[in-house]
Amino acid sequence: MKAHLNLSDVSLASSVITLGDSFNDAPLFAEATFAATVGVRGVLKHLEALGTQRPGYVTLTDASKGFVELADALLESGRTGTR
Amino acid sequence: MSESQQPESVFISFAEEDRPIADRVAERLRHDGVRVWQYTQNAESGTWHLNELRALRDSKIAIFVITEASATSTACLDEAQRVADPSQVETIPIPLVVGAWDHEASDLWLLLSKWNGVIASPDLTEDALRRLAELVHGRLGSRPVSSLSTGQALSAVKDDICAFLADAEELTSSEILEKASDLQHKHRGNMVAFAQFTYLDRELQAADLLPPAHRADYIRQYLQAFFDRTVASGHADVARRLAGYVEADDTIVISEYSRVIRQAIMLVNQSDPRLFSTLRFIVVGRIGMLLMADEPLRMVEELSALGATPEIMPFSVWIDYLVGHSDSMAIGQVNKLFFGVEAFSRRGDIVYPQIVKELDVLRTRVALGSPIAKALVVAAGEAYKVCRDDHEVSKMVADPHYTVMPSAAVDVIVTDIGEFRHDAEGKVDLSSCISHVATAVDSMRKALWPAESPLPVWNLPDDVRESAAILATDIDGSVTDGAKLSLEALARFVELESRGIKVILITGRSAAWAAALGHYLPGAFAAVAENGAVLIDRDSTDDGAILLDGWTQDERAQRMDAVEECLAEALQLYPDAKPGNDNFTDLRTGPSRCPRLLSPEQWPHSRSATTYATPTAQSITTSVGVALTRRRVWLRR
Repeated sequence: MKAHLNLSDVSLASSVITLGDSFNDAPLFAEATFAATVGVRGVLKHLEALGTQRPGYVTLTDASKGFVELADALLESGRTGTR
Repeated sequence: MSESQQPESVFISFAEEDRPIADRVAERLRHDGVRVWQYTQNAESGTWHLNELRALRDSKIAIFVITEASATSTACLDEAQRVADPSQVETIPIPLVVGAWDHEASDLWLLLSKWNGVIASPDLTEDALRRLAELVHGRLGSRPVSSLSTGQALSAVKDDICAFLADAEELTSSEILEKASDLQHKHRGNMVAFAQFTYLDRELQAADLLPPAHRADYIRQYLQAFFDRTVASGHADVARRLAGYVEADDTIVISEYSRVIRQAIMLVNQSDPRLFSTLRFIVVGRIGMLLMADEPLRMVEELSALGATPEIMPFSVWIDYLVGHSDSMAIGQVNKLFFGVEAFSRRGDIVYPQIVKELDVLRTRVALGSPIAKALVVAAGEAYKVCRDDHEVSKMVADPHYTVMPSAAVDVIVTDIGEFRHDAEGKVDLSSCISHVATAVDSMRKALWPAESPLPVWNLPDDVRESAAILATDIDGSVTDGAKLSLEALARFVELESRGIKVILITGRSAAWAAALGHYLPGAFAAVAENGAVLIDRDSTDDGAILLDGWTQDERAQRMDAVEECLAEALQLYPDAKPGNDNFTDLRTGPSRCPRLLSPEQWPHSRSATTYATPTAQSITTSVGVALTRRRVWLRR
């Protein structure tokens, strides 16, 4: 539980995870800036256009399902070998 | 030996009255390419039965057509007795009961009921024939290498599939899975769940994220790594832990051939020869019940090679012993019973080749006062053999070779990562085994994954998950499907908020859009709109929208002129376009002069991430930072 987050401790590079789906989200995929950068599956179509500014991770599903997948990855406590 | 007598043949035992049934079975099997022995001699000539017995001896499988007619045939009974004889190791019977009659009262059934078979209606449906054929194929198919242990069979499949992948170019996941399943059948029938145990099914989902040309190669490397790391070390670690359960003067019953048990005993032999010399081994002969006709022999040979004098106990004697039958008491006191396990459920149930009779006795051994009531029953197996869900257990048990022994039947489960005993409520939880393998697989993937490809989100490091405080997410296409928010996505907003993870919405849409969304979405404490130009801080005491340009009024006015110019130019290029309109007209911002606009002809081709995104990259990063800074100030106020 992180309910009592003290935002003054928050830093982009350790606390912010980004999510996008397309080439226009390139700024969100600046890996060095954020703790982790994630694309939903559809982002794979845009990897070429993204060049080097591609996400570090990708969800197995697209669009809202991808968001749910990422949220669950952040929410799950203890690894349970999700498939 | 003639062609028909070569050992891959199937013998059919039947009464003359049932010849039409035998013919249909033979026809079906021959159609599948199986050699079937069926006598053609005149049944009255007096020589046929000897020929038949010779053929029976040389066959791998004997199908017994059990009907009211054959139940009273002395020839059929004679054949059944020969095959059911515990010392007979060559031929495996398959009972085929046809018709609705009291077959359980017949001697044929009594002799053959412990083998898997088929009970069919009088008309012997196609479905019954199919089930029979499957049993035959399963046994014939696995016969040549049937004595491979699970670990050996897995390795054999792995070697073959890796060779296949090395030559392959582009393959789909389903092609790879299909090949794995074929090879699994070739090496050991249904009796090993290759894709399940190697987490290959899961890994193929990950490999689907790679460009098609990279998949086969990646999966080949993955399987090599899985075997080098998880299988090999798992085996050694289970054996090491199991060896710890061997004590001086133990009488150890080994109920099935298992590499892990062999390895454990070898360890004891190496580390403490004196202790080893005090041990007594009894190997249960399961001949005929499984295909592993040579297994007890193999175990006995290997134990003998170590200098032990193992005894073989026929299965029937073992059962007699378990239930306390006085004839079997010469065996004496047994104090350890080791099982090499095929698979576990998450709750510690044991998936095991058909041992139904043993199962009930083991479970109730204390209540029944069985001679092994005080013996320590140890089930050993690697963590990767823990089924990830009940569906996997059901899939294995759907195979008639398998059954499930409740975890309560054993005292200790020994795995490579730990030893598990029941808690006060009699429960065992093996989910740590699953996470152990999944974590190992994640780290293999990280090491092997092509550098230019994004990793599956499964690989998000634990420390990143732990420290995540903000999720900055695009909206359209990332959180929505076809511009709609799903119920599931909405639920995650609520859940993220309740777990202290804040969401910042990032969008190219106008400030008004973002403000509204940010207002209504739970957990969204800020929104960055207009491609990073505007920040909306929902809980701020200000009006809620902040321009991130840092300009004075005059500077902004100049830029607004540039925007108007730009707009006019754009409308010339795109006469059908309409200027956007929102509630935050006073917050418009823009470049100091109109950028070069692209004509409709140029637009689709030149729209690349760099030209489109660069101007906004800095502002988005800045705005997320500002959102945090402002919040900090606000919190302190």
